[in-house]
Amino acid sequence: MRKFLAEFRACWNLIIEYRVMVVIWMLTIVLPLIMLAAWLSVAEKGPVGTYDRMTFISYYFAALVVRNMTGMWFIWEMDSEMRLGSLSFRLLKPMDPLLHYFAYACSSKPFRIFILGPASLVALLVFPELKWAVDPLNLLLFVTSLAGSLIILFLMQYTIGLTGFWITRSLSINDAWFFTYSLASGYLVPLDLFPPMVRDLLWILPFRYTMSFPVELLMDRLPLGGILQGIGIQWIWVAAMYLLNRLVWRRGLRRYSAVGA
Amino acid sequence: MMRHLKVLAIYYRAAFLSQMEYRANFVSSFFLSLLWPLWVVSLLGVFFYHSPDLGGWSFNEAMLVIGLYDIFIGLQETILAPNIVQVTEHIQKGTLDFVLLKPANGQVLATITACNLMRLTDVLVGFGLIGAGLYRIGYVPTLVQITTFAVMIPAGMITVYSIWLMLTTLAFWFVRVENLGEVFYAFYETGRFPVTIYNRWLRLVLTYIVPIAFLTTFPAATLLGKLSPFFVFGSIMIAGILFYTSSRFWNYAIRFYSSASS
Repeated sequence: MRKFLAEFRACWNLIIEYRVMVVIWMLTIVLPLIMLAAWLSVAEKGPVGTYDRMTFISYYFAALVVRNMTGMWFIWEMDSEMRLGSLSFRLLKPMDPLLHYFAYACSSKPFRIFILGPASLVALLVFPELKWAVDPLNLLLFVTSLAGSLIILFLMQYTIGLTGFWITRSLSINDAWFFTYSLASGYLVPLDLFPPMVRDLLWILPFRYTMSFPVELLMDRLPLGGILQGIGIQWIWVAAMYLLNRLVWRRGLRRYSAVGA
Repeated sequence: MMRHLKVLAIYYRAAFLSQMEYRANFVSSFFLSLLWPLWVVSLLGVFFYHSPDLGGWSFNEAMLVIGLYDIFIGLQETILAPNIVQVTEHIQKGTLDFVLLKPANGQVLATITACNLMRLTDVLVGFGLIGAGLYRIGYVPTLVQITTFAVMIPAGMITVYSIWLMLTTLAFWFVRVENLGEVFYAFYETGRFPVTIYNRWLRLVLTYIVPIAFLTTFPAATLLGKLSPFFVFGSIMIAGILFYTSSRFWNYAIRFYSSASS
């Protein structure tokens, strides 16, 4: 934990240095807003399933919040460290590199809360009809679900990054992963709007628990039992992903041959 | 003009040869390009599962718009993005001298000589999507429609080039401009869908201020014979005006370039 905090502080200082860039990155997450515009044009003629215009607005704003709080982009750094060999220095430290990358992935989050918190408050005041349940208990559950989602996404990206031990194009795998994630998680389209059979399939996959689940929770579309069950499933996925990750890590490390190592 | 084309041909040939060294990358980028239509068709599928049209466009017609989006992303990543990376690096490090000293037009050398041929696969996939869309509608464009389409693509390309050039030129003053590119990408994302789905204000912005509609929606409409000639001329006018302005801006800004040591 102390090691994590030290790493976190180092990464956090970097974020403060590049705060303008973080704001620009936040502003350029526009895909959900474009999807929102498309659905609003469809919903003009009447509600789509259980979604009317206000539900869509609430959904995609919630998706923006969840994406900002759980999205991470450390695989680019990981890729260059593995190819150029600076991973060797990381391996010399008495600390699992996993901790460093996790700290790096989390480091911009406090800054994002600092911006999103007030922004959400304003949104709630301006649009009181926004369908977000913001009582303390629900917010607590929401934050808990964000943590689960963040860790699942981290382990997924870290495992994909580790494939760099075998191939030089782990970033392409990440691109392909993003295609899948954006569709299967509910980031672009609420899962309820898929045909029932597809929807049932997507409920089995881990992706739902990284986006759609926290969003539905915030929008008060889940009963308490469903919420607790969802959080449980999140942690089952965390455990499964962690085991897979350790397996890949141990196998890959044996193959590691960076430039000059 | 001819001389510059020859120079460009030499640069592109060199890029082609060096990139052919990495054939595996080519294959993997091709498979990635194939994933994209799959993704897009499922995404569109969800909309059309609930509604017969999207902003007045049918499923097959919307495939044309997405094909065009793909074509422009591909062209942009092939011959624009690598140059932006390169020229901002030159400006940051003060090595633009070596480019400007060469006996050819500095703007040509600095802004269109680098290319990343991997991403041409996106262009192919884009044309494939357009073909598939037309085939499924069962519509054969007339010769006039194909000609206007063939004019609007280069016009759109010049428009994108000019916007990029203006953003890049800002690097002479602000040095770090990569992030401005991100903002443009954000606007560009709106081109995935027909511009008619957006509300009135956004539509005006996307037509007249950041002319994304001229890149994807309008060429698709012209191919289907749904576009008034006004917009075809508009697309040429916009390309011309932006190209002239951005080139003037570049030539003006270059006077402020202070190389590394001077």
